[in-house]
Amino acid sequence: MRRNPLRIKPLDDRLKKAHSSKPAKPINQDKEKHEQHTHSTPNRSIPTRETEYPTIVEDRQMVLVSISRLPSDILLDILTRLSIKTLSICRYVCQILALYHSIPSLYQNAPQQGTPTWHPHHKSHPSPR
Amino acid sequence: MSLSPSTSKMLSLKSSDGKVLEVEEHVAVLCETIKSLVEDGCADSPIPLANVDGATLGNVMEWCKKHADQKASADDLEDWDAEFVERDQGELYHLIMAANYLNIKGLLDLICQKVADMIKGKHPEKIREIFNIENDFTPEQQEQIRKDNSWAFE
Repeated sequence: MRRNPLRIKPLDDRLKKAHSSKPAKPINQDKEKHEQHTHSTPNRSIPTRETEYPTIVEDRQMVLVSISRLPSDILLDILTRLSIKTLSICRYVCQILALYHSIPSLYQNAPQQGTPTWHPHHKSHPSPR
Repeated sequence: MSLSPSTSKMLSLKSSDGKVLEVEEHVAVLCETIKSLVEDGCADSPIPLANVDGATLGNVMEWCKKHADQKASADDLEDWDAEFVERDQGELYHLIMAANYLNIKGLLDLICQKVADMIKGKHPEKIREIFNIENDFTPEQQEQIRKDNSWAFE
């Protein structure tokens, strides 16, 4: 047998143990038992997230149709209402917002509140007015 | 064209889910899209609004009704607007889309400002959390941006 210098148990050992040990009680065991009584077919389909957690899925769908999916002109309208400092932070949120960050018109109307002292090495930013 | 409440007739607006809403004309014409249809004489039958669902249309018309009320003072409207936009993200999203489709500048401005206020003063992680945005940067890109914008994170 090969030496195992890291003392990590081989994967197959762990799998064997997992199969031989008593399975953990599922959270919805009672529900499953009830379903087994009501459904005679042994190969019943695995419950989907939708059937198991309807409220979570509803919330998720609600969030998915949210602000991050707004049309570009509206997103731009929102971003133009932000200060230069907040805009720079938005650049760090995701690649799409980083892309908007490169639009010069965003800075034309950006409020100066919160604008830090200009440093010459910050070449990626327009100079403050 | 200006319509006073006393001379206003009723318009039927049909939402994407088939709900029909009866609205006074002087209220509905706050939506530029509907105003154009009224001016062109196309408002005799229910106006189909394919991009607005019934619940959102109800909310939009609630806003229009308040803003068409000539008795409401500017301060009253401001307070009322602040309460009106206290909604979850899903509703705000539908309202913003409806305001854009129906071309209601005041409502669009109001909600865009609300969303901007939700972003203001937040750290990137918090903005991602609020708007459920996935962080699609590689660690290297992330580090580079942080270096370039170190002043913004101070």
